[in-house]
Amino acid sequence: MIRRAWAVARKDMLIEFRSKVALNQVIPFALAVLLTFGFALDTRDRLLAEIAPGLFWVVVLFSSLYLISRSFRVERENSAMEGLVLYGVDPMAIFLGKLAALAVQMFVLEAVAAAGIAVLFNPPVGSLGLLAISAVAATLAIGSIGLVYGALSSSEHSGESLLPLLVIPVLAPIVISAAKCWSDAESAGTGIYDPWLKIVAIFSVVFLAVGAAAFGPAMED
Amino acid sequence: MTSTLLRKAVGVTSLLLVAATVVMGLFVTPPDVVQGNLARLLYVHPPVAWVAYLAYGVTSIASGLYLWRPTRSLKWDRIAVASAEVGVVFTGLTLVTGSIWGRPAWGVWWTWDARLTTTAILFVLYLGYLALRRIPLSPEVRAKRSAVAALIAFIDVPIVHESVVWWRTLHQGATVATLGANTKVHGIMAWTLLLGFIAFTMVYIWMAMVRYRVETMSAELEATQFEAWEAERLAESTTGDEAIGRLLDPSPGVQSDQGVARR
Amino acid sequence: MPADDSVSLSSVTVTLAGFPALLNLTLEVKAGETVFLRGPNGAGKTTLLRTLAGLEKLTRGRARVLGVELPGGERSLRALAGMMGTRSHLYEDLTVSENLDLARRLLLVPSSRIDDAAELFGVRGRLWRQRVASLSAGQKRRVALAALVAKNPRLWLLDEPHSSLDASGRELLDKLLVEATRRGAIAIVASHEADAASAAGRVVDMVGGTTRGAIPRPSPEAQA
Repeated sequence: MIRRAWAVARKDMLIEFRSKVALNQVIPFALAVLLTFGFALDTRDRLLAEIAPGLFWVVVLFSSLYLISRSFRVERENSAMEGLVLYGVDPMAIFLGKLAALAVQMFVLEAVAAAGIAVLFNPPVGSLGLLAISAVAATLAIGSIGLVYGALSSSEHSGESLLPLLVIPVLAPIVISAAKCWSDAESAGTGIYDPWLKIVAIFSVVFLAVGAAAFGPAMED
Repeated sequence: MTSTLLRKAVGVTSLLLVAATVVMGLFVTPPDVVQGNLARLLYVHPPVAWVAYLAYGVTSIASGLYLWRPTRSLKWDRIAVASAEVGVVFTGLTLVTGSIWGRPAWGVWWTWDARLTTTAILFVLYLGYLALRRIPLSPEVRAKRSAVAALIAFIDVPIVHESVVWWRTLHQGATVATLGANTKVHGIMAWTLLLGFIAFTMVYIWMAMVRYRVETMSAELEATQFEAWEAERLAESTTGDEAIGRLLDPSPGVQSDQGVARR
Repeated sequence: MPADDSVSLSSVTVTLAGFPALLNLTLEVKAGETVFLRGPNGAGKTTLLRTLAGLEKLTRGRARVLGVELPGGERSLRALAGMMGTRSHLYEDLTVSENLDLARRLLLVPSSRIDDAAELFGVRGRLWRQRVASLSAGQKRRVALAALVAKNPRLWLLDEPHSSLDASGRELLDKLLVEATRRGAIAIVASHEADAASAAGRVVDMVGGTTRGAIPRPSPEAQA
């Protein structure tokens, strides 16, 4: 199963490598949103630095929705997902493979968005470790739930625009706790022994488990 | 027939109970010492909120029963959607009555209190659930997918609640909890509140029953449609004469030269 | 390998969005047989193939396909049967070689198999490094067939396989089916009448979601 999951992940990465949708469309979108926030909030440095963590996770969540949609759109062309199923690949392998590929793309997105925030809003950075670990945990949770709802809403018609409405409320706890982690990371304080990191980690494990359990029933008709 | 009678009985009872609650709440009970007439929202807001949670509980159980193979039946799917729709209405009412109460009591329409925030997220969560059901799919696929969504929502609600509680309590005290404690409930007020709970629960049962009936009727309509299709299908396949002709005189398309040669 | 290499459906009904696409269909196919499904549009040919591939669930009735019981065994059946439908199952953004490489990794077969299959269907040369999006319908079909041959299923389910294939492609495919059935595999082909006439096998007429006047005819391979 691991070998097949890896094949699926490799395939999704190759598709991104060939089409560069994440690189050419989604990441620039994230940067455009950051700039827009700068204009809308009138570049008051203190304010921007203060809201940077929340802003970051909102931008990451919204941009990830495009990546998730994309991840299912490539499967709908020529009914390719059906092809995977006919190779005898079980849903868990598809889930793990797609999650891995999605997570890699999200990490790149997050790195670019974080760099953008660092340059544009100039927030202080106390603990890089806390930033990184909480980002990994939150990314897995967003990806996992996103894939389940991507499968649930995938249909020939009208499904794609539904994805944000389904995913955003479910992931509210992740956005809250990840943003709190990043707020705490601005001020160094507790380092990676931050109480919010524990919360992000617990949520992330729960969402991963829910995602793994629900993806199969959601995918198979 | 009996179910129609029962539904009507429940409907009439719930209307009478609501009327009784209105009378008790507005005219019989005294105004509150602290909040005055405002406290009369006590007879509406908590019961409405309770019904919202009750409705989602029913949706979750029904969805679980649908997903569990031994009890899988579209009946549970109908119960789930009926209850969820009523739940969304009552969540909306909870938010509205809460706001109406909050404005004079706290001076704001909205506060980022844990309970309020959770309820708001719950509202959006189930709006999504209902939207998911609108995607054109076959009944079984739709039932399965929406049951998965309902169960994820069920697991998510306590997580949302906990996260919001931590989010708020790490910064400020829970405003509603302290305010609520100030309102002493006793005597006739307690009875009226109890009446309110019963009345709105009955309203919920009635609305869910009606909604379930609508679902059953559209399923029955689909079943008659199925029978019509089935008959049509059968007619297609049993145009007798032609079939016999085909059977007895091998058509050129079937009997190939190769086959003849081998004989 | 289980001994049971046959297909047997009894009174199978499959509904699609409430519509009985298959209705009380009964069909027996023995190992090594080739069956051509013939019938008007909407007769249920495609649904029958998809059901035999484990892609649709039985609403009523029972079936036993390659020793797998339906309903229930859909997932294990998918891995055994080989289906080529009207959709190619290929990723448009990937090249031919990348698509077939994915097939190799998912089927867990050596790469020489994939190379041979690609060679056989003539997609190894100029097309090898081209994106699937730039291929013609017939070329996509050849790639899909190469992947199918690499899987070497015991049950071949082909939906209008000749459409968009050129003469050499059709000839190749027919030869392939003859060889596969000679080795005990079953081939079930939804096809136009003209196609059915050109090859040996049993013709099953389908209409209204069920079979009509199944005309048994011994195939040369079964006699040999």
